[in-house]
Formats: sequence, C-alpha cells, structure tokens
Amino acid sequence: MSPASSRLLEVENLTVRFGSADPVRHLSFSVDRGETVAVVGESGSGKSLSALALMRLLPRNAEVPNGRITFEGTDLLKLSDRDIRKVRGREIAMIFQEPMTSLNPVATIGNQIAEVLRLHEKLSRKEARARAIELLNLVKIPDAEKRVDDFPHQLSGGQRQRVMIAIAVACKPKLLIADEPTTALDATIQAQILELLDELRRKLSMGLLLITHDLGVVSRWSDRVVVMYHGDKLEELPTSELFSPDRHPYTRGLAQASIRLEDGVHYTSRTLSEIRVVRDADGQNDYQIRQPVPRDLPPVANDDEPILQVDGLSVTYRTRNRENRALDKATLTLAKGETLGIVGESGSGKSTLSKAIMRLVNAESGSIRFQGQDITSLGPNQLQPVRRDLQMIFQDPFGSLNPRKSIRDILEAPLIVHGVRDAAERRQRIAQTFDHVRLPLSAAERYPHEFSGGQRQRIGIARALILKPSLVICDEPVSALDVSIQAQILNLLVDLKRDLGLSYLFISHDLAVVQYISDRVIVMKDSRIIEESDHKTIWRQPKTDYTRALIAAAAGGETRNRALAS
Amino acid sequence: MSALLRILRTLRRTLLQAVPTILGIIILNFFLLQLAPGDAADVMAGEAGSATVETMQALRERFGLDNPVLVQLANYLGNLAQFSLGFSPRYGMPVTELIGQRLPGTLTLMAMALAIAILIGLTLGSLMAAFSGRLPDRLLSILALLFYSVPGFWIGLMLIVLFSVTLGWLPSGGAGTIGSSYTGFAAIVDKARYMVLPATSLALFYVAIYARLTRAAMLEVKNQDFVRTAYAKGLSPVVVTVKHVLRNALIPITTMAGMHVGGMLGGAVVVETVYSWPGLGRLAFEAVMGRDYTVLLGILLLSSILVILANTVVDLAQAWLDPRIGEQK
Repeated sequence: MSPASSRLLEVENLTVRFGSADPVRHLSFSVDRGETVAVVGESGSGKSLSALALMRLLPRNAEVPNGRITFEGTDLLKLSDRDIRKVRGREIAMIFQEPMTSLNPVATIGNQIAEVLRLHEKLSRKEARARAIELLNLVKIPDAEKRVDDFPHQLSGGQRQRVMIAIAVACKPKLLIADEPTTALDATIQAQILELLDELRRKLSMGLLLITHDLGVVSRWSDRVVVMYHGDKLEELPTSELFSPDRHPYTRGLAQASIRLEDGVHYTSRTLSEIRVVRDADGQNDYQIRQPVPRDLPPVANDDEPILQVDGLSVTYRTRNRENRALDKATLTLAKGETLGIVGESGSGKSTLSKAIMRLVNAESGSIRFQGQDITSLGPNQLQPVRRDLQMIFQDPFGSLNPRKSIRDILEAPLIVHGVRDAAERRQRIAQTFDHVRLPLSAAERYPHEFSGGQRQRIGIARALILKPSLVICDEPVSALDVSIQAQILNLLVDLKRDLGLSYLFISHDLAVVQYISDRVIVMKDSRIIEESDHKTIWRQPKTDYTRALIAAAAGGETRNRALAS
Repeated sequence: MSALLRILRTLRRTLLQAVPTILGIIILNFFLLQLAPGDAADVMAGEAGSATVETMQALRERFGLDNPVLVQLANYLGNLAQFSLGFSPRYGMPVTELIGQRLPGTLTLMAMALAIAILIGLTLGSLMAAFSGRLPDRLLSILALLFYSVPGFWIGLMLIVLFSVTLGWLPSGGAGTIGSSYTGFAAIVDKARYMVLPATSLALFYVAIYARLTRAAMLEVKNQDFVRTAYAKGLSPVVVTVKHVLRNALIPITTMAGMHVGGMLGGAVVVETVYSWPGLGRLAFEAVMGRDYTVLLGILLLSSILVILANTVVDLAQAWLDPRIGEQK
C-alpha cells in the first residue's frame, strides 16, 4: 500500500475560536488506517474541542477560522450540513467520557443502536434489531437477546460504555474517536473496555483516535502520541519514546508526575515532580520540572493508643421494599500520624465507611472509637466537639464549594460554628491556613468560580484544616484533578501531615495514588474489607485473587510498550 | 421489565392512595361549607319575599337542614354509600342528575382547552428553544407574557368582539344552535363552532405556561450528553429535537398539565359565564349563591375525583414516558 492511500485523516493548521479566545491553535496531525493515535493533555489543553471539531460538533458559538480536515480526500470543513451528517456515525464515529449520561434515558439500548443503522444503512426495523443484538454480542454484553430491550439505567457504567461502542461501530466506521472513554470507569472495567476497543480496531480495521489525560492508557494502547498544552501541540512522537529522557520538557514532566504502580514510589522515599509552566518575556511558555526536596518524617508511633478504632461496623440502607447492606462488619485501626489507604471499586462500600466514621450515616452495629472516645451513638450536641478533630476532604472541587459564598465566608463558617467569636482571631486562623495550603491571602475575597480545579481543591483542604483536626478523611481527593495538579496536591498532603501531625484515611480507586501515599492499605469489595496489609507487602504479595486482579488491571497499563521498547 | 407491568404497578399504587384522599376531601369540604353563613332555606325564603318562621322550619325539616351537623354528615355519607349525591332543595332534582346534565359540557370544554394549550404550548416552546436568545424567541416570549398576564374574561370578551361581532365567523355564546336538527358530522361541526372561542380563552393562559416550561425543559435537555451522542450518530436537528429532546422534556410538562386540571375547573366558572356555556362551573357558582350545599358538595366531590383521575393519567403517562418511574426499587 502506498503511503498516500494509507492516510485516513489529515488535520492541518486547525484553529478553534470562541469570541476572542483560541482554545486550539494551528493543530496538525494525521491518522493512518488501522492506526491508534493518542491525543494527550490536561484539562484546558483543547484535546476534546479538537475531537469535536473533527465531527463538526462544536458548540454554536465556536468557529473554525482556518485549517483543513481532510478525511479520505474530502475537506470535512467544506461539507454542507447535510453531507457532514452522512459522515457522522457512518464514516467517523465517536464515544464520550460519561457513559452514565451519554445514552438517552427514555429509549431502550436496542432502539438506540438500531437508530443509527436505520439512518445510514436503511435497514428495516426487524433487520436493525437483529443487527443490534449481533452488535451487543460483539461488545460482549451477556444475554444480548434479553438485554436489547433494557433501558440505560438498568446497565452498569461499563455496560453502558459497551453500548456506546456498539452504537459507534454499528456502521463499521473508518475512524473511531474515543474521548476519555474510560476515565469514569473502575480500573478493571477500564482495561476491559480498552481491550475491546483495540480488538474492534483490528477486526474492523478502523483508525482510532484516543483522547485522554492518562499516560498509562496512552502507553499501552496507542502507536503515536500527540501532546497538547493550552491549545498548542507541543510534540508528536511514537509511543515507545514517551518515557525517554530527550522529550519535550512538558511531556517529561507529565511522565514524571504521573505515578505508576510498578515504579513502587512511596512518599517516604521521594516527592513527586511538579510541572511549572512560566510565560517568559517574549510570551513563550517555559516548562519547568521541579522536584521538591523530601523532608524527614517522624515515624508512625505504634505504641500509642490508635487515633481511630473501628470494630465490626455495619451500615444498612433501607428503602421501602429493599435492604442494602452497604458496609458489612468493617474492622480497622489507625495509629496517630499514619495514613491508611482504602482501595475499592465503585459500590465497594468505601464511601459508606467514611460517612459512617464521620457519623453522617448511622451504624447498624459495631463501634467507632475516636481518640479514645466511643462516638458510635453520640447525640448531635456531644458530637459537635468531636467533629472539630475529624474533618473531610471531598472529591469534587467544583461541587463541594458553595458558589455564592466568598472563600472567606466558606472558611469562617466552621470557625463560627465551633465558637471562635473573635474576628481578629478568625482572620489570623484563615491567614495561617492559607499559608499551609499555599494560597495567596488575596484569594479570601474571591469566589469559587474564579479558581482552577487544583486551587479549589486547596480551598477544600483549607476548609478541612482550619479547625486543626487530628484525623482527615480524604475521599478521592485527587481523582478529579489533572496529573500535574495531582502531584502538587499529593505533595501538599504529605507536607501537611508532617507539619500538622495529621492522620489520614485516604480513599481512592486509583491504586498507584494509594500506593504512593499510604502506610497501610485496606482493600474493599462488596461492602467488606477483604484484605489488609502494609504498603509494601500488599503490592508484592497480595493475598486475594481480587487484589491480584486489581493490581494486574492497574499495572498492566504501563508494561506493554515499555517491554516493547526495551 | 415490560412497560405494561410498570404502568399496572403505578396504577395500583395510585388507586390505593385515592380512597383515603377522597374521604378526607368529602369530610373537609362538608365542614368548610358549614362555616358559611346562611343555608338554602334562608335564600329561598329571601327570594320568595314572604316567609314565616313556620314555613322556614318546614323547609329545613324537609331537607334535613335542622339536624345536628354530625347527623347531616352521617346522612350525606350514607347517601354516598348508595352512590347518591343527595337531593337539591333549590333545583328540586337529584344532584346526580343535575351534575350529569352539566358534566359533559364542562369536560369537553376542558379537554379541548387542555389539548389546545398543550399543542400550541409545545409548539411555541419548541420554537422558542430552537431560536433561544434570538428574535423569534424574544417575540414569542412577549406573546407568552401577554397571554399569561391578561385575565381570562377580558380575552374572552375581546375574542367575542373580534370573531363574533366584527367578523361574524363564530357564535358568541351557548353550546349549540338552538332548534337545529343537525346529525352526524354536521352536529359535531356545529358543536365545535360553539366551543372554539370558550376553549381558546380558557387555554391561552395555559399556553403561556406550557410554552415557557417547554422552552426551559428543552434547553436543559439540549445540553445533555445524550443529545451530543444523537448528533454524533448523524441525525438531523429535527429528528434529534423530536426523538431525543422533546420526549425527555415532556416529563416535567405532563406533571404540570395534571396539576392544571383542577385550576382549569376554576377558570371554567369565568369562561362559562362569559360565553353562557351550560357547564359545571356556572352550576357551582349558582349553587354558592343559592347556598345549595348538597349540589356544591357534589360538584366538589366530583371535581376532586376528576383531579385525582387526571393525576393518575399523568402518573401513567410518566411511567410510559420515563422507564425509571414505577420500577421496583
């Protein structure tokens, strides 16, 4: 095959414009037939907008002032609305990040698959249904004949993403664009979905454009990588060279900031690299990688009484005609100054455990001892002083701050509730906390929407710390953040732990993050704690099959291409 | 789960809830009406102009108005148990019969008005959503605001002035041509000609509500991910709007429509008076003026059943529209 005919998609000089801002600037790249190209970047890099631009699905207020998108010899930007609709879904198909909301909730999955077949291949209702069942089999949904009439809410997240893939490949497209296809899914499901995509790519000889922030996914599943930052393409490289040292500094920073399970990095041994992007005098971005100097940590005091002791804790949620045991006889202890990592997939009961410890849900049986006091059944008044020492950091930096309150109001509220009446003292406490989380004092008068995700998470941490707690429960504190921000926040959490003598209960679905930050690790599955071990043993000698499967799913992500490269 | 099973489950739940609701409504209404000053005997005596204490006593005895309140309630409930709504002292006929004469007129008027309101409201709302922020949206918004704020009787009068007096296209009042002997299709056309104006004036207020509601619901649905999925399939904007956006947007609209059935009954009083339409609204009004509580209680009972029925229909429609409703949790 000559090189010219193997070219499927050629993007040249593409710019996307919103008013006066250009979130994508002069982007050029290409995809060959049957090839997987990854576009990698953090939020705001313009990677998703570029993908939407290829399908001409940009929001109405966006325009494409220049550029060419040549797909099989035709410039997609020059097609009429009618003609581009013949390309969408038939020649180029797309799957999206959010499987929970990407399907129409009031239509059966069978009809949603059939719709695209009836549109492009003019199949009859009956033929389309038969094909829909075939496609559900192809994406490995069990019992396809029965599930074809199910509605989206009856399927799990992974199954919904499979349905999305079935819709996308229904008309055997030549190019499949997958925009963060697995970001919202659990690790084991993530691996399955990517495997399925790769298998379908080979079977249907599609080109695959994989848009992601996850270097692990990139390194395992793609042939070439396009790295984007703030609307600019920084470089394009074969995937095998992704981790080689002579890359663009930003790529290198990304690679160093992302934690990989098999590297076995731990907070006691080294800090994470942070990427700093500085705009220099001529408006050029200067990319710096900074690795903070590690500082000594006091050893975990094992002889003291544990700060937290949970014994046989069970929680059952009841609705009128159903009982759901969300937590089943959980037992754990946490020493002063220790970080206990809790790993589990969605529905494993890890959030219920944290809520029960915070006394946000009531325990059915079992006991919680915090700082020597049994808090299992304290009333609201007795609980008040306990809450001061027991604080929480939430996952969503956008939803967990009240948008109508200034940062000062948000931070003052807990102080007022806990009886700090002196305004000067409150101001001083806020200043001190800002100093801890490294926010400028000017931030106090501003509102949450004025901050980036990473800054908001710092505000969330500040809110938890302002009462000087002794135990902080971190519920997926870095899951919603970009890799480089994630590194900064994790470094910050380690520093705070040392400076303020904190203990953490660190909940995450991300094994690499838990491995980095935890002293001990608990694995949860189906509302139970199934394994507990120190941070070294659990990765090297997992006791249960489930833990082994989790580790395989998480670690497998990075090994293939590196094995190929070496 | 099949759609039918879901709907049946919803139906069973709604019916079980309806029984205590209706009983509560009857008892509450009964006591509320006792609070109003005067009774049917007072009014009849007043209208007759000459009544002695004895004749009033006789009147009260005849209609059971001299019994203690609780006995009256027990009597009324006893009547109800035999599916009788009692006897109207004023009209001199059983209430069931009286209401039976008026009910069809009001029901057709309401059904027509609701149909017009939903149809036009959905269309205008969809248009407003499609052109949101642009000129058509602004103009229709002003129109909707007008419909919303102008009182129904005034719209009714103006419609009469325009279509009956000036243009002479439509009759100005009544429910059918008197003395006509139309049959079949001609009879329906005749009936419809009389119904257009009252139904429209009753509907316009609700047109405004549904238009605004549809606009908001559609704009919200439009931003959801599955709409982007639909576009990525290559569907045209019209198909996306009708098949994906509208169906999801209908769910909040059906809720409102169910709640409006009760409100429409209230609005019917005014419209029926303006167009001298022989319906329940006017009967209710006359019953209030004549202190004819038996009739009034009957109407109130019937309208509450009507509202409950309408809500049941809405519940069923929603169970059909939205697969997540009626599911066994």
